[in-house]
Amino acid sequence: MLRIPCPWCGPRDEPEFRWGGEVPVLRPGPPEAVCAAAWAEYLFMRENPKGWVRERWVHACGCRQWFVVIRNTVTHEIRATAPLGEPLPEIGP
Amino acid sequence: MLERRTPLESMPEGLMPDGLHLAAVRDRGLLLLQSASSPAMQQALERELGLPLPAAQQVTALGEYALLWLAPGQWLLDLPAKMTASIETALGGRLEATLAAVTDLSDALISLELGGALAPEILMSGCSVDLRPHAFPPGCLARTALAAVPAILWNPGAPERIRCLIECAFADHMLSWLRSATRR
Amino acid sequence: MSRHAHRLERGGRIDRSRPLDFEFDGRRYEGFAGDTLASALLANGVRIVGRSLKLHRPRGLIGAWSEEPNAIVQLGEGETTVPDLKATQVELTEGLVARSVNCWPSARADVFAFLGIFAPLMPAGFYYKTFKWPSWRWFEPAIRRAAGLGVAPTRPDPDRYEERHEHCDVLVVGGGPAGLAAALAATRAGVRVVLVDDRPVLGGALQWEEKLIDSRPALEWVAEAERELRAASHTRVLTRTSAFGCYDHRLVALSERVAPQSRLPIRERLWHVRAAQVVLATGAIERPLVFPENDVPGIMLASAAMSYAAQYAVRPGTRTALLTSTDFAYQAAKALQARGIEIAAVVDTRADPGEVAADARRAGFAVLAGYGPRRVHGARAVRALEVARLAGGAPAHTEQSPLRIECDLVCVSGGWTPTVHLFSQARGALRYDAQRAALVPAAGPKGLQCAGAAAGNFALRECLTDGFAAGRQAAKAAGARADAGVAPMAQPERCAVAPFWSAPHADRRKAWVDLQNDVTRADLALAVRENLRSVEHLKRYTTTGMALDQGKTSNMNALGILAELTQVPIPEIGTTTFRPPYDPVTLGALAGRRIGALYHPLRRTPLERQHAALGAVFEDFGAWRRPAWYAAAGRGRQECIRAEKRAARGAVSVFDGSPLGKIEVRGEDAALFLDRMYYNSMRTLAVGRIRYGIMLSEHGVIIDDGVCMRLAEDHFLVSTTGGAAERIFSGFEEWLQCEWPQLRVLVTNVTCAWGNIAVAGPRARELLALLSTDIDLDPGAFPHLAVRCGRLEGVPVRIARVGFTGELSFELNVPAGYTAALWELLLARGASSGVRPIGVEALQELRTEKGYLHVGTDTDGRTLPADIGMGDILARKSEDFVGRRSLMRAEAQRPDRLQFVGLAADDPATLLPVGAHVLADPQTRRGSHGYVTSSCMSEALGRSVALGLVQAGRRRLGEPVEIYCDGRLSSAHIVSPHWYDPKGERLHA
Ligand SMILES: [Zn+2]
Repeated sequence: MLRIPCPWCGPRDEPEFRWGGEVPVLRPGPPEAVCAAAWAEYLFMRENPKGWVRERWVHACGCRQWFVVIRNTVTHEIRATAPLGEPLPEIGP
Repeated sequence: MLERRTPLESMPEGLMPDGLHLAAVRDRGLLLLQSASSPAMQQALERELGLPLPAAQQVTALGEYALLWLAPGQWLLDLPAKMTASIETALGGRLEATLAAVTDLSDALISLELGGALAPEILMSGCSVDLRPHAFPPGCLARTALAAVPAILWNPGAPERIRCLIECAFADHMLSWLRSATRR
Repeated sequence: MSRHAHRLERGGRIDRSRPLDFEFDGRRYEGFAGDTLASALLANGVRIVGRSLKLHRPRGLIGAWSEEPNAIVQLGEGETTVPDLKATQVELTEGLVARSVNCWPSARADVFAFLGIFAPLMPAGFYYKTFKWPSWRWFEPAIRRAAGLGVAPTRPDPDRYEERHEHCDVLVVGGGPAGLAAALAATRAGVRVVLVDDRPVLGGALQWEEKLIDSRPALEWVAEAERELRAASHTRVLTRTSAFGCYDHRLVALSERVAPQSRLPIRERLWHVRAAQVVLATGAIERPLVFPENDVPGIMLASAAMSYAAQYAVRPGTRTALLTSTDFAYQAAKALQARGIEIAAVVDTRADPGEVAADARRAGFAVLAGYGPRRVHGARAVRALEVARLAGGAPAHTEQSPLRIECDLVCVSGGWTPTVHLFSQARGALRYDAQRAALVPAAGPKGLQCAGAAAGNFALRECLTDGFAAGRQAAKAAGARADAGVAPMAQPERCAVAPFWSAPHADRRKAWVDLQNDVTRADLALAVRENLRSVEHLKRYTTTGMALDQGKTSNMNALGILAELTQVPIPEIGTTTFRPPYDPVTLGALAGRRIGALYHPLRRTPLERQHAALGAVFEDFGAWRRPAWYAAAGRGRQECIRAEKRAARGAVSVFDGSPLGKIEVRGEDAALFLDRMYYNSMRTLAVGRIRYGIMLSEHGVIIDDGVCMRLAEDHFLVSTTGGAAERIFSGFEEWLQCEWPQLRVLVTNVTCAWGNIAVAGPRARELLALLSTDIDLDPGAFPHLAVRCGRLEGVPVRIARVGFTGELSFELNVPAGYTAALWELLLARGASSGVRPIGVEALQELRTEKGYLHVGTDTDGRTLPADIGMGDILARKSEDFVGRRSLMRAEAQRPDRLQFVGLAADDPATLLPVGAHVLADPQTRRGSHGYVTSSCMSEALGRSVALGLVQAGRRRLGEPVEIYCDGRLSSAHIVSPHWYDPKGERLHA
């Protein structure tokens, strides 16, 4: 069970959070201008890397804020978390 | 005028084993304050009540008023029930020009207080936040899960006491959970 | 045999003044307080304590604690019985009743023992090879009966189980010398420490190895260390507590057996410990040797024999041969001799054991160096050990001059295996250390380290210094500043080992590798011949290292043998993954208090007590407990529901709608935001008006429906279905925080702040007129789909002219605290109008005959707006909204999509079952054109009504169809879903 540091509430157990997938995912628009392939890319295609990934989580059972987490998908190590839109370290190798 | 009731009306109160004490916190009102601008909220509260905004995971208190941090841009004002309507109107007026909202949640949440040296341990049988005095001193607040339901827990400053704010629909669940947790 | 026949005259940490009666396999025995079930059985001369899993061979005690593979017992009887405990870990209590598992009627006389003669027929992979035809399911029941380990109780467990979350700076697992040293160092450094040990007493191996620490008897040091730790307010010591799982980010799960003398009526407590630093001082387990017939009762780990003699004053045998490849056996020989056990010989597989053997010879021990085991004589008990000289110690040994050593106990000592289960569970890497002949911890996750024997430091001196250093380092990493002082000290000792993975020609007779799972060296060889060379394959094919045992005594030997067989060095073979639990955990401990009413938290409406008083039959609808219907004396369910429906259609009904989700949306961009959240346009909604709307996922699929009310230009109230409130509110927050943070909108979930009572029926207005309110209820001033805020009976109210019944309807929203009083007032005042409370069942039937769809019932995970007849809105709305692009896909435009329609059975008395399919081809009964989603008998229409999703359904109105369910066909026609009041005149009354 992960221990995730919420940027506002501090480290909490994983069941208090909900995972929201990789970021950034840009929502394409307007709808008429979006080709089927681009829409499918937005809906379904993700990197799913083995290693460091940038993803968003929400502290659903706490402050209900979404934030960004840099996590290693192999070791589950969490390198950093930050509110949406705030700078985070680059995810290197 | 209709009679106002709470799910805690038939709650048995008083001393429990091991010096524990469970009580409903009654005659309190709760106002949810939301604002896109903390300075505007800060100003409104200071002018209206003289209360400073608490930092994250903190509570500020003055007399019969306590201001609980809930989230960035969100606070909960715990106040005497009889003051709720007038403060709601007054704060609403002061915040009119900004993106802000004042919502009466007095009926949405129940407030319980568990006292006694063992209170943190009892709550920690269903809560993964460390509530022992060294980790959860007076003025400390945690929004977390208690007994598998969302809860706002805070230390009101009195020794060995923890307040729990729970969605009123879970009142029965919480009372039976507390009963089972304290059964000896 | 007399009681305590094998009890030593003196010594042991048992209380001879407190004899305890107990029963094993139906026979009565006596032990002492301080005994384990295993030590008490040995003291009574019971040698056969279990039967092997596949072949039901008689088995004796090998170990003295959690490493024991054979003595698996069922403890107690009736509802409190516990299966699959190790007799070595069961503390003896007065009146204890236990039986061996996997045998009948007892381990001594097992009727399945005949299976032994079929041994050649049960090689590795036997199950997979033999029971495939006609199918595994055909054989399974019989095999499970013969092979099961223990039985589950059939009645509810009356005992209580607790749960605790704990946080600390340093968690030390293991209270042996290394763990005690680590806990002392961390405690002295001033951080919060938790020390756990699964035994009733601290000290680990110091309980039976008589050594000196800081020049004093080790047990004195243990006692003093325990006093110091227990006296420290920031340190918690937990004994009888097994750390069984180590998870991400240093979460360690403990299962505490609450001491029998505790004043709390709790059997076990589950701890979730989150530690900043974890020190795993879990010790090491001695390895048996693999040689023919090495499972005969009377063959025991040398450390276990020492433990029985020293801790429990039990003589595991009278004359013993020690069979070893390490220096440790010489310590054991001395210790056992000191307890009065005759040492027949020390048989050392090493050609030149060096000084340790010379010392032993000088002390008068017979040492056979360079000898290895040939076989054991005796079937139900050891009678003699036959050994032979090994040729040069090379794997291809030759046999010469077999020697027969008469003995009734063979102590085996094949080296030590660090207990790295927890380390490995947490994804710590292991490395093969050839000098120690063991897998030792290598790189581990942050904040997790092994210390002492668990790290391969088997000598006491190194255990103490390593443990102390680990405790000091962990405390420092956790932020300690105080100094931990000086590490305790012990004498150096010899710990050399030369691995002897298996005896030559071990495959001629059965040489056991995994005693619990009945796996022999020949099974491993067969698996390798069949090319199952990966250690993970080998484990599953042969079952070695599985089940309760988790390979405690077998894993390393299996690995060594696999290396021999495949000629691949051990480091390249790797090891299997260890998984929790290290030791079995009861389901009671895992469930804790989350049973019965506390299993799943349910929300209750503010009218719970009022419903109960009215005879409500409650059911769970999502997270809410709601009245399904109201029971009346002498009337059945259907009759009651019919009466409720009649009231709603003919007079007036009240319905508790409090679970409806209520979300306030405020701010200058509120309309714009809701336009993006709803499929329907909300910007065009006038103040004081209500619009029905549906919400979509980005896939275009309908996820919820409800009404949206505009209370002011910049203030909306969104109403969601009861089960969707949290989901929709979370969705609002996510869109606002992640996608459109620039929108000037605030959302607030007020679901629980307001109670909701729907007053519906032709006499609804008449009833409301009896209440005092400042709101004009006249249809001209307050039309259908309008909302008014004001006061009702002196309290704030929001009245919405909406409903789910299809009748004139007012939803009264009042602050939740006033709901009960308002409900009681409505029932009292409405008595003359024929008011009745209605439950969810009646409401569902009313909305079905009205043709109102229920999202999730009449829609599925593919239903798009056009499928429910709302396709035309898309063309009229120009703005983007969630899911819009997905509605433009070719798939979304197909004319043959499933569409929402009514289905009329040709026989009005026939109720079309929900889930029944509309046949594509009635002749062949093949293919589906859709299915029935809702169905009921309509009171108002005097016939059955149904709704469904049918391919191209709206184009096929009036078409006859055949509906199939469970072999039965019903004829029906596709019709409009609007069965009742299709023009909606009653809504506008
Ligand atoms: Zn948070």
